[in-house]
Amino acid sequence: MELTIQNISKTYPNGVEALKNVSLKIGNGMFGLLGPNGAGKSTLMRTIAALQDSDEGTITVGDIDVSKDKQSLREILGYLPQEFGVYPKISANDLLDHLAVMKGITDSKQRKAVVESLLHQTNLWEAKDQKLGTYSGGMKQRFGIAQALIGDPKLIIVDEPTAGLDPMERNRFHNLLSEIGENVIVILSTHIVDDVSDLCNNMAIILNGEVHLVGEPIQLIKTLDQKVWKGLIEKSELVEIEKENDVISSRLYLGKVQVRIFSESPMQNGFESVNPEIEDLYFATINGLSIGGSE
Amino acid sequence: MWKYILNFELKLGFKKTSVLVYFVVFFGLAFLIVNILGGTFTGARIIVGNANNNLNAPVVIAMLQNIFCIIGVLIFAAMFGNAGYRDFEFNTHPLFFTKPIKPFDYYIGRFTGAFVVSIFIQAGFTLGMLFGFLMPYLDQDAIGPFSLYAYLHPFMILVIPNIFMVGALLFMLAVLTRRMLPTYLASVVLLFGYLTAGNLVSDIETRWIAALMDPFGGEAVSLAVRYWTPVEQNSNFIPVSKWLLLNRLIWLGAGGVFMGIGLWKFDFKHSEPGKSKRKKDETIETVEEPAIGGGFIHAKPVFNTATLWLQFKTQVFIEMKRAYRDPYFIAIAGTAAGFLLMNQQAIGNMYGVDTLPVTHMVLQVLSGSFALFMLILITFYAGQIVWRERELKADQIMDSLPIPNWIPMVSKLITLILIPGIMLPVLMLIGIAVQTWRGFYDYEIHLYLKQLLLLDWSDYALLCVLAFSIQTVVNHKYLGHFILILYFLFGMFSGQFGLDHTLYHFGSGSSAQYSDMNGFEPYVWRLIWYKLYWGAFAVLLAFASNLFWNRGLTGDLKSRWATAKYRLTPKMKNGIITFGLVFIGLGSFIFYNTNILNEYHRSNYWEKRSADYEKTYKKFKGVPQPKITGVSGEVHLFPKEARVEFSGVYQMKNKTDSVIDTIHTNFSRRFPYSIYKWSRPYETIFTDSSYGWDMFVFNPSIQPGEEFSLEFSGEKMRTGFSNGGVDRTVVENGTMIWSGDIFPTFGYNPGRELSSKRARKKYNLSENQDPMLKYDDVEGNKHGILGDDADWVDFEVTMSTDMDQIAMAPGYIQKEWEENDRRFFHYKMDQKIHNLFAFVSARYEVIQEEWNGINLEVYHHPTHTYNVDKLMEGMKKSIEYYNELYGPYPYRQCRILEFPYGSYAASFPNTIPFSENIGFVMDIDPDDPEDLDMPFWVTAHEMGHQWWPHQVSGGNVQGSAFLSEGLAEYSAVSLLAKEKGEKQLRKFLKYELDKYLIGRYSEQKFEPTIVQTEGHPYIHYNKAGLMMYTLSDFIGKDVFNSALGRFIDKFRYQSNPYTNIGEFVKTIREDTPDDLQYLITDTFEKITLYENKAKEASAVENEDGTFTVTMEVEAKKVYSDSLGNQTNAELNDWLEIGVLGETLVGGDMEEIPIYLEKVLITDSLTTFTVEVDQKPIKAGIDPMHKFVDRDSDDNLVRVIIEDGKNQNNI
Repeated sequence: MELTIQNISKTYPNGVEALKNVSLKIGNGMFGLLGPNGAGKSTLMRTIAALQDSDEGTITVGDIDVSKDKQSLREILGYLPQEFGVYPKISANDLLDHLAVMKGITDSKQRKAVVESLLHQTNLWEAKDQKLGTYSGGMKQRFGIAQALIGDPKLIIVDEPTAGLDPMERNRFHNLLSEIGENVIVILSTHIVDDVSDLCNNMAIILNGEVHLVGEPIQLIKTLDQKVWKGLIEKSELVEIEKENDVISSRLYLGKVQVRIFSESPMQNGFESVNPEIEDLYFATINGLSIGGSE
Repeated sequence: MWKYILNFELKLGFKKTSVLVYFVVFFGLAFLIVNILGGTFTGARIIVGNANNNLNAPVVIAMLQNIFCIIGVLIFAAMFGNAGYRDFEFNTHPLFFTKPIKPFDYYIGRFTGAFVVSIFIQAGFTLGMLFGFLMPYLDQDAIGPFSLYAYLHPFMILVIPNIFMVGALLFMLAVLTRRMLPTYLASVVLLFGYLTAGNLVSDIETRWIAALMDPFGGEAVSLAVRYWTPVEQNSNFIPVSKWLLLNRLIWLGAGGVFMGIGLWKFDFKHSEPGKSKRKKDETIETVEEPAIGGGFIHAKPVFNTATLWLQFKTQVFIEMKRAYRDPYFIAIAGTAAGFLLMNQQAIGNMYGVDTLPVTHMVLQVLSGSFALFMLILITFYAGQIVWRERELKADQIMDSLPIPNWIPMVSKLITLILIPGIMLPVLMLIGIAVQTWRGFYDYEIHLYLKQLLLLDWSDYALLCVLAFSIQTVVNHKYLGHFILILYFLFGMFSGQFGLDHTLYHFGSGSSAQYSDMNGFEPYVWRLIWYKLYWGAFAVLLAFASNLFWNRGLTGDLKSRWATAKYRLTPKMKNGIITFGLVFIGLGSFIFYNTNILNEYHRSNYWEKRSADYEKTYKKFKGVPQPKITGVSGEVHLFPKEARVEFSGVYQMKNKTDSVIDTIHTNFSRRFPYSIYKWSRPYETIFTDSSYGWDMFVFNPSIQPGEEFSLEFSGEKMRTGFSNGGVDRTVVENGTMIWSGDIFPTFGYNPGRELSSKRARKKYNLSENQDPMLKYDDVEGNKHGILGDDADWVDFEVTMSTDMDQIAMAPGYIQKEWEENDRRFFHYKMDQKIHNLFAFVSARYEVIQEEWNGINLEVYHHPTHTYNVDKLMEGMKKSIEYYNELYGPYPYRQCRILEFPYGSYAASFPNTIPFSENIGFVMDIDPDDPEDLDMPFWVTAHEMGHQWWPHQVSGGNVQGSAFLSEGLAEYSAVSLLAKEKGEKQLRKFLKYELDKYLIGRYSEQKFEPTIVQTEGHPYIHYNKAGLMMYTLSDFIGKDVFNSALGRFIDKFRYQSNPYTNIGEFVKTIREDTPDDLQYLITDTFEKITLYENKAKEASAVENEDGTFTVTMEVEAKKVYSDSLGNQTNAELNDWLEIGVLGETLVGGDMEEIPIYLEKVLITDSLTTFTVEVDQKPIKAGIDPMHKFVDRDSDDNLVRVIIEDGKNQNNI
C-alpha cells in the first residue's frame, strides 16, 4: 500500500500557512517526519488522519481518497496525537477494551486477548486497573501508543510518540514499532533526530510548511560524505567562524564550542572530517544551507 | 503588590470580549425590559405591582436590579471562577507561585479584579435601565421624575454587597478546589437558596426568616415595602429597615468569612488531585521489561451492522457511566433533593393551613420547583457532554476512530436525555418520602409515573435535544449556553410582543391541569398531538446535530456548511424530508384545531373587539327590559363526548312602568341557539353574529305587567383543542356549568368592556369604565347585584347524565329514573331564588344525614373522604348558629358537591359546589389550636351565603358586594370564634389584615371604602372580615348581631328596590352608642389606618403577688385617600390595651392575654397603669390586632420587671 500526498496546502484562519504545496509518497515501512516545532508536522499528520481538511490537494491511501471516504481510512488507521487526554475516571483496561470495540474488534475473547497483549507490550499490565487520571505522563503516552495499535492498522500515524518517555521506554517503543512497521505504513513525526536514525527507512524534513528533503536516510547522508567537519574552538571565535563558514551546528563542549561545518573543500586549523549524521542533515536544512541532494 | 496584580487583572478583564459582551447584553436587556414595561411594543405599559405605581418607582428599580443581580450570579461565577482558576486551567500557576508574590497579594489582587469587572457588568443593567426610562416615547403617564439616587441607592446596598458575597464564595471555591465546577455548583445553590426563601414567604409567621435567608436581600426589601401605597412607592426610596440591615450584615459577614477562609487556606503549594497515587505509579514504571515480540496478537477488525450496534451500545454505556459517576452530577442531584425537601412545606398552603399531601399536590410543587433546576442542569450538561472530549483533549483519538458520527452523537444525546430520566424517579422518591413523613399513605404511584415520566420527561427530552443541537451547531460552549438562555427569555417575553401561538413555541402544549376527579382527561389528545409535533421537530434538530457534528478540527462556517452538505446522504435526506413532512402535517393538524375548530387571535384583536363592543352596544346599557320570573329547563350532559344539550322556557314579565318594544339578547357566536322562540308575535330586526347580539321587536309591544315566555334550546361541545387549552364546559367526570354559560342572557354586559386605562385610551374610550352607581341610586337599586335579567325566580330542571354519574342542580329531587341507559333527575325549587344555578355531574360517593328535619348531604370523589365529617359539622354548626342570629335556614336540604379544578366554593340555594382543592384535601391537625380548620371555615362562609345574598340581596350598586360576601365572611368569622376559639380566630384575622394590606398594595385602580366597593375581594372579604369582627367586639356582640337580625328581617327577599349598604350602615348606627359612631364612619366610609406602637412597659411586683404594669403607648390615626395619600386624623378613639402573660398549654409555654381593656385615647402618647395577677411578659396597644395597622409587630413591647433597684430584663 502506498500513501500519496499531492499538493497539500493549508492556511489557518489567523493567516498562518501551515502547509505549502506538500507532496510526498510514502510506502510500507517507517517514515520519519523530522522538523522543528511549528514546522507543520502535526497539521500534516492530522490531515492524513482525516481530522482536518486541507484547503487544496489530495491524499490517497491505497485506493482510499482520504477527504472523500474518511470512514474507510479510519478503519485502517492507528493514530497517536501529539498531545492528548484520556477519560480520567476509567481504567486503562476498560478504555482500551472500549476503543477496541470502536475499532471493530467485536469478538469479546479476541478483544480481551488484543487488549492484554497491548498492555503487556506497552508495559502497562501492572497498572491496567488504575484509573487513567492517575497515570504519569510517560504511562499516558504508552497508553496512547497502545490504543493506536489496536486492530492491526495499515496506516499508523504517531505524532511525537517518544515525547515524555524515559530512555528505556523509548527503546521499547522503538522495538515495538519496528516489529509492526514492516508491512504497514508508519509515519512518525519527531524533532528528535535519533528517533529517525534508529528506526526509519525513509524520511522527510519539513520546515515552515514545506518539505525540504525527502529520501532514505542512508542515501541522504551520503550526499554529505566528506563534507562535514568538526572542530573545537573558543567561544570568542564562533562569530568569526560563522561568518566565514557554513556552520551546521555548534554546541558547548568542555567549556569550548564544538562546531560542525559543511564544507565541500577540505578544512584545516584543527578541523577534522567526520562521518555525517542525520543530525547534520537536519541542522543543515534548518539553517538553510544548500547542501545539494534535496530533490 | 496586590495593586499591581489588580491592575494586570483589570487590563486583562476589560480587554476580554466576553466582559464587554456581558455588559452590552445586560445594558440591552435592561433597555429592552424597560421598553417592554413602558409599552413600546404593545402600546400598553405593563403593570408592576400597582397600576398607579410609576414604572420607575424606586422600589421597581431596586427590585429589577436585584433580580438581575441574581441572574448575574451565573456570570459572576464565570468572572470570579476564571480569576481564581485561570492559572490552574492553563497550568500557569507554577509561573506565578514561584514569583516573589505573597499569597495574600495574589488572592486580594485577583479577587478585587474580578469584583470590579463584575460590578462593571452589573452596572450595564443599571445604566440600561436608567437610559431606558429616559426614552421620551414611553408612556409618560407612568414615568415619575428622574432620580439618580433611586438607581445608586439599591446599587450600593443590594448589588455591590451581593457581588461581594457571591464573589467571595465563588472565588474561594475556585482557588481552593482548583476547579471550575464547584464554582458553578455554588452559583446554582445560591439561586436555589433564593428560590427557597421565596417559598417561605407564603406563611406570614416566617416572613422574617425569609427576609434574613435571602442572600440577595430582595425578600427583606419586599417585607419592608409590602404594604406601601402607590404614593409611597413612587416617592420613597427603599428603607434600610431592621430586617434589611440585618440581612446585609449577615451576608456581608458571610462574604467576609469566605474571604477569610480563602486567605487562610490558600497557599502556593503545588498540589493536584491524585498526587498521592503517582508515587505508586513510579514504582510500577520500574517493573522489569518483559520480553518483546512474539506476544503480538493480531485481530482483524470487522465492520458491519452488528459492529455498529455493538459500538453504539458500548458508547452509550460509557457515556452514561461517565455522566452519572460524575461527583458533580451526584452533588447537584443531592442539592436539588435537599432543596425540594425544604420546599415541601410549600405544598398547598392557604391561610397557613396545609393541604394534605395528595399526590397531585406534591407533584405540583415538586415538579414545579424542579423545573428551573432542570433547565439549568440541562443547559449546563448539554455543554459538558458535547464538549467533554475536547476539554479532556481526547478528541483527536476519539475522532479518528472508525465509527460514524451518529454513534457518539446519539449516545451523548441519549445520555443527556437520561439525566432527567434518572432525576425524575428520584423526585418520585422524594415525593413519597414527603408523603410518608407527613403521615399520608395514599400514594398514587401511577400518577407519579404519568406526570414525571410521561409529561415531564418528554418535556425535558425535547429541551435536551434543543440544548444539544444548539451546542453542536453553534460550536461554542458559552455562546451555546447564552443562546439557550436567550431562548428561555424569548419564551417568557414573547407574549408581550403578541407572539403567543403554541405552534412556534418549542415544546409548547404540554401543560395539563390535573384533577383527582377528572385526571388528565380533557388534555390527553392535545398532549399527544403536541408531543408528536415537537417530537418530529426534535428529530429534525437531531439530524441537524448530526450534519454539523464536530469531528476533528472544525473550520469556519463555510467549511462546516460544506461538510454538512457532504454528509447529507440520500438516506438522511429522506429522513429529513419524512420528518419534515410529519412536522408540517402535525402542525397543520394543530393549526386546524387551534385556528379553525377554535378561535385564535392575537391579544390586540381581542382588545379591539372589546372596544368595538363597547362603542357599538353601550348605548343599550340600561334600556328597560323585561325580567325572567321563572325558569324551567332541561340539561342533558354527555360526559364522554364533552357535550351538553339543553333547552328551556323562561317565564318573563315586563316589570317596568314603560312599554317595551325591543328585547336585546346575547348568544354564543360559536354555538348559537337552535331554537329561540318568543310566545308572542315578534320580528328579528337585527342579528350580529360576530358579537352574538340579537334584537327582537314585538308587535304589539309589551305592556307594563304583561307576561310571556321564551323557549330556547341549544348545545355546546368541545371541538378539538385551542391555543390556550381545552374547553372544560363538560368534562368526563365532574362537570360544573354555571347557568349563565349556556342559558340566554339579555342586554349589554359591562363585563366585556376593556378595563385597562391605557388600552381604553388607545381606542378612544373614556379613561375609566363607568363606575357602579352609588349605593343610594334609585335606578341602581331597581336591579339586583346578581344581574338585572331577573329578580327572584321559580326554578325547575330536568337533568340527565351517564349511568354511573349523579347530576345535580339547586332544588329538591322530584323524580329520578333511567331511560336509554342514562340517568334522569328532576329538580324543583319550592320557593323563589336568584336567577343563578349550577349544573353538576360526576361519579360521586354520598354521605347523607337527616338532621333537625334538614337533609344534609356531601357528594364527594370516592377517595376524598378526609374532611367529609368536617364539612358535615360545618353545615350543622352554621345552621344552628345562623338560625339564632339571622332567623331560620329556609330550606329542607343542604348539599355540598365536589367538582374538579379551581379553588373556590360557590353557594347556590341549598346546594354548594366546592372545588376539590378547597376543603376536601385540607390537612387539619385537630390537636393544634392554631391550625385553622379550613374546611369548616369555608363551609361556614358558604353557609352564610344561604342568608346573604340568598335571602337579602343588595341592588346593582356600590357596596352590595359587601352585603353578600362581607356578611358571609362575618358570619364565618363569628362562628369560627364561637366554635374554634380565640387562637384560630386571631390567626385568621391576622391573615385577613395581611391580605387586605397586600390587596391595597396591588390595587390596579384606586382603593374604595367599604360603601364604595364594586367587587374588590380584599375589601369585601378581608377588610370586611376583620372590621366587622372588630365592630361587633367594640359595639358588643349581642347588640351588633341583633342589628343584623333586624336588617335581615326587614329586607328578606325584597326586590325593586333592593336594599343597599346605606340601609345596612343605618341599621348598625341605630344601635351604636354616640361615642362609637365615628368607628362606623371610619370603617365604612373612610380608609382608616392606625400607627399604633408600644413605647415602653415596666412592672413592679406587689406584695400580694400581683403586678402593677406601667406602659407608654403611642397612637396615631390617619385617613388615606384612594391613591394612598395620607392625612392625619384627630384622635378620640376607643382602642384596646393589653398585657400578655405566659401559661402552660399542652406542655409548651404560650403567650396569652392576661389583661385586655378598651380605653379612650385622645393623645398620641398615653401612659397606662394596670394591675395583673400574673407575671407580665409583654404589654402594649391593640395587642390582638383588631385595627388596620401596617406595622402591627411594634404593638407590644417586653415588660421590664423592676425589682427594687435592680432592673432585670426578662
